[in-house]
Amino acid sequence: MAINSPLRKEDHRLLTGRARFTDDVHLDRMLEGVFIRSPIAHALIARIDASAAIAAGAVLVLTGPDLPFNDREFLVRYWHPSIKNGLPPFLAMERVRYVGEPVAFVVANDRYLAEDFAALVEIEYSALGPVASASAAMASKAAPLHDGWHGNIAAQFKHSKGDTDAALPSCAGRVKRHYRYARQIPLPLEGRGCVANYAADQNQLTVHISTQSHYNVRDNLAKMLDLPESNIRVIAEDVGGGFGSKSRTYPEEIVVSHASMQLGRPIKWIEDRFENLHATTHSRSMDTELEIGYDSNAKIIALKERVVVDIGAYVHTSGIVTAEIVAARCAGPYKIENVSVEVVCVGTNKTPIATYRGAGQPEATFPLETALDVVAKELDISSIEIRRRNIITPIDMPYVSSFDHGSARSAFENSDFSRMLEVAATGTNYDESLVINDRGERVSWGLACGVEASGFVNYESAKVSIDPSGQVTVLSGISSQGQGQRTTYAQVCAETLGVRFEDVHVRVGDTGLLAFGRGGFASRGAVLGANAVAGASEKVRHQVLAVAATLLQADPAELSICDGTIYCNGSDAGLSVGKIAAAIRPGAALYSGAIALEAEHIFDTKDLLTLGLSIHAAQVAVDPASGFFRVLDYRIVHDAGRMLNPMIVEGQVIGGAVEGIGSATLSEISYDSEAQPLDGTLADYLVVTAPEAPRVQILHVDSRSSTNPLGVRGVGEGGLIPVPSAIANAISRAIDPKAVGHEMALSKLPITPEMVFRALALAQKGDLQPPPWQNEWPLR
Amino acid sequence: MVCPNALNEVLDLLALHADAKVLAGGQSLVPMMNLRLVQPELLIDLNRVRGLSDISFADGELRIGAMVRQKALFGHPLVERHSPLIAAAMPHIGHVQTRNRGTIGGSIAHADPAAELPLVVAALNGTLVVQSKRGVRKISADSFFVDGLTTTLESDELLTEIRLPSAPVGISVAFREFARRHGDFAIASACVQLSDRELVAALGGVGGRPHICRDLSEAFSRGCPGSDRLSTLIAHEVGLLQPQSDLQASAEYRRHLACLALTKCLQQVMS
Amino acid sequence: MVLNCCVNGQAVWSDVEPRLLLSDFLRHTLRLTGTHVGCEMGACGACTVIVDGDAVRSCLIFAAQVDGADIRTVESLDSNGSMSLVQELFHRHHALQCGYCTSGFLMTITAALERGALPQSDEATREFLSGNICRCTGYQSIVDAVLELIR
Repeated sequence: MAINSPLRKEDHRLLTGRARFTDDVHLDRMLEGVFIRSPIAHALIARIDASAAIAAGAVLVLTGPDLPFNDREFLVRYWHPSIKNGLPPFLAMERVRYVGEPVAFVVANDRYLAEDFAALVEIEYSALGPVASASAAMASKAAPLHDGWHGNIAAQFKHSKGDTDAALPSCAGRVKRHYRYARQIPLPLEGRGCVANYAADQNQLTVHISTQSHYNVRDNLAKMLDLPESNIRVIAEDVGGGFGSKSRTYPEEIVVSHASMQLGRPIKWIEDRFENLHATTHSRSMDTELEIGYDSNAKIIALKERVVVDIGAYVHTSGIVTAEIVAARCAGPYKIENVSVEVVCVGTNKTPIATYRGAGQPEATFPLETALDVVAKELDISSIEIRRRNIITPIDMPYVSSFDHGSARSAFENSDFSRMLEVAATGTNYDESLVINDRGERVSWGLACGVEASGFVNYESAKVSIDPSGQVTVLSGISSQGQGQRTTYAQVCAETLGVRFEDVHVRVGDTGLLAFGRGGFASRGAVLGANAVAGASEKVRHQVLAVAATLLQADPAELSICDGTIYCNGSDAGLSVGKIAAAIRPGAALYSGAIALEAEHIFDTKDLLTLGLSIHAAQVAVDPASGFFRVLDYRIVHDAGRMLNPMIVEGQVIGGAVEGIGSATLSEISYDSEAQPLDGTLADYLVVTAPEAPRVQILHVDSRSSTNPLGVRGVGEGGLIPVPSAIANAISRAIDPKAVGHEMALSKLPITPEMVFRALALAQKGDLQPPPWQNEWPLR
Repeated sequence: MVCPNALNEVLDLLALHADAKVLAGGQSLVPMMNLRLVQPELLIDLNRVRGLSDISFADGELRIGAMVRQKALFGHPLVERHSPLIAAAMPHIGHVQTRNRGTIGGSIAHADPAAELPLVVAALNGTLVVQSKRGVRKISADSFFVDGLTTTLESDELLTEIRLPSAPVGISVAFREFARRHGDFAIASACVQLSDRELVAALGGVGGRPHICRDLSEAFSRGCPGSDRLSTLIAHEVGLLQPQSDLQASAEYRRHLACLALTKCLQQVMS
Repeated sequence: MVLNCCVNGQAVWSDVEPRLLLSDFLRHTLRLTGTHVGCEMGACGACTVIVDGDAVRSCLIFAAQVDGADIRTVESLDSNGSMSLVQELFHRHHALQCGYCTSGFLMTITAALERGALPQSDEATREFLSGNICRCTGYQSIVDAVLELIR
């Protein structure tokens, strides 16, 4: 397939303000509702009195006991067997467990009024002791948040390979470190929201929703509301970012849809930024204790990890997937004989966690890649060399990944990691020296590798059809939040089928298009979605050629399609795909009893994930007087497999890298000791703006993945995965390229100027006091 | 909401309605209203009131109307000539969109401890002209700023003008701020103005109100101190602070940054 | 409160509640949904529109305040099926992914372009755009679009 970057088909309507995000939907007789959310982290609900709100004009007030489906559970995916209950209710019943938990839903004629009426609903809480940290949660006196959560452990599991306990003592050297990845959030610019419209006369529910998982939403609505799947249509027409925060069904859409059914009118709910900060799932939130044992040849012999995940107050509908993935990817791209990883998921009175760009991979990468640099320093070898000696090489491939999650499997295949390391070492400006610039800043580079597993959650669907005008329509079960699927899939279809890119029209994000699909998340758009389109296009191509062969009395092998025209032995046969479509429909000359030119395809990876490597090099400048630092330069050596649209691939990788810089240096969700959130607005929770973003350059090292016919690797998350370690390693080197110990002050993300300042002090004094947050290290 | 055209209408309304709030640029007040943290009974829109948006020079003072937009201060010839310290602070203040709407009066009256304009006005000991039905008060900046988000403005008073002493010819100014991102409020900031005769300096973001470095100025009035003495003086001023610890920085780190910001400002003006 | 203003070149008359925000007036009363709301407190820039020539946050202005004003939203940029130069450059540079922040950036840049106040370097451009948050692109392609605009 030709590598090509046509400009995006999506752009025109987005640029001209004609997109249709959920809050842009206006329906006749539409009402609007707001959720009343718990202001307290842990309490019994003593009393709810909505009479004043109703008297003032609220159209409807719903609370937990009003809902007829409380006995039904969410449909869950990848539900780890060790999870001991903990799904959230739809609206709180008797007890609230985090600030932001939905307690009631108030409906009025408009949003302003709904908020007025919500303020009139009287809710009395009787406070219970809040559990504000994992260590407090596991302490013996803490009451369990849910039945079966002994010691507030919601789930735990172990993976091991070889015998780390036996191997570690015999290693020439060992490095043991603690790392903390703060609680962070995906923060799409468009928050969650939905417009539910139930038409009683047809028993039909249509929901416009800002989601990544429209089919999952449909299936949950069908279950809770007792509607057949085929009577529900979920539309995610334009979605303003998701990044993993919208790849599940939330209670809100069920409640809003139920309210619409009850009132027989469309109801809109749009979350505000405060809700997005506290009621949309959080992520990261992991403490890792890591020990590496190595031999005198810098070979890593053993890797032992214990990860404590502060999962918040419930296990949301995507289970403990980030906990599973942090274990699955703990050894990165390295060959390590003895690996053991234990993961404990602990409940606290905070917002539940779930996926966020990388979904456990950044959490796995940060400790490993940062510790590797420590090992390199101990051995007095370069950061490149330690990786060279341990990375999986082409001879090792296919190298089956030791661990995976759920039923997924993966292998490192068809890539050359050694070559990528060489490119990083010599093809970027990376080096391991320290330079003092003319501003007095200490300037250094840092390096880190990151593995991205893509194509998760098996199956994606596509349907391709051609109409008599020659227009080709592609329907996909995917959904988009800006990843350019409408462009990429048109390219894939055009190339496979032999028509012009301009003549292909792609539709996504609507369960009404296809009976089965999944959606856009987990970097599956290329591996799963594009391959489904290719499969369907191939089928239609065969149909076209079969009909053309009949019409032309030729052998299909002599025929080809180019720009929608049939060629026979290289000459224009005077037939277009449109004419063929016209000729075979019912009533036309060649009608043979079949539907016109149209085929469906479901692409099935049989749970085989696709792995891809990127190597990041970050150059930072550290001001030794203040600890403030800047990222000056950023290079990425990236294997995207085959790039269907390099422009879109680069957009994903650069976007991910800049997001990673925010994750590494700015963003943290904080709670106080009463589990009250301290970040109320975007003035508290910080993300990267243009001045903080460096210019990112990518060096592509292509390969062809063997996991799928197109040979692609997903790229939605890899841009972010190694960033925090590249930056931590760069800052550590800038402070002192040789010494070991000061980097312990940089073992928590985000890395703040104050932490760098402390690290500088440590390096000067050689005083290895552990940073204060390590006193909170959870008890065993 | 009401949108009066004349100042005396505003003053009448303020006298009558204790619970009224004035709306200037809206960059501080409206977010609080949108979050429903503040729900005033009456909102008085100042944006059509005549006579509050002039910049002039009279009696040795630069006089800036309270409703002058922050963007209008940027590059204004009178501001550059008479108050180069304000000019030095401008690039650090917010973003294009907030400067287009935000006013100097709004920023001063809001008195955020980490904001740039209150810091500069406090450093220069400007005069805040405040009016009510009861008359006009001219309040020194030193008296005006009480604590974080608290000033001596009474509920029936309106800040109408900010007056700054004209900077002598040939002064040097410096403004330094440590912030997590461009345009964010300062974690710690410093501003300095040095002329032949005197040095004025102030620290921001390190307490409820700007800290005027009086002992430092006093030492300069007796002759330019040597570098050792200077370090001691800076440490002394910073030692007088009671900064808070918050999500952005610990108190100790804030002190360190304040020290650094002041040092760099002094290095800049003295070179 | 009575509101007479000009929106995208058309006279608009409306009777609005005092507390109705300009962003909500544009989006829900006039149904010009191209302007988006990301935070309702002036931190993200998604709601940026042009009022009397200045780029401002429409979530921090009440509709009643724009009586007599000239307001332009993203819908005013294209005409007769052709996009404006700024829009074209965004398209060419892949300066948008999900598109939610895009109108805010377009109006900020267009206002500066019309005032002859565009920044002149990569660094100055980034500072100029610091009041607009994008979660998808990493800003690089947006900066490139502006740098080409300057040339």
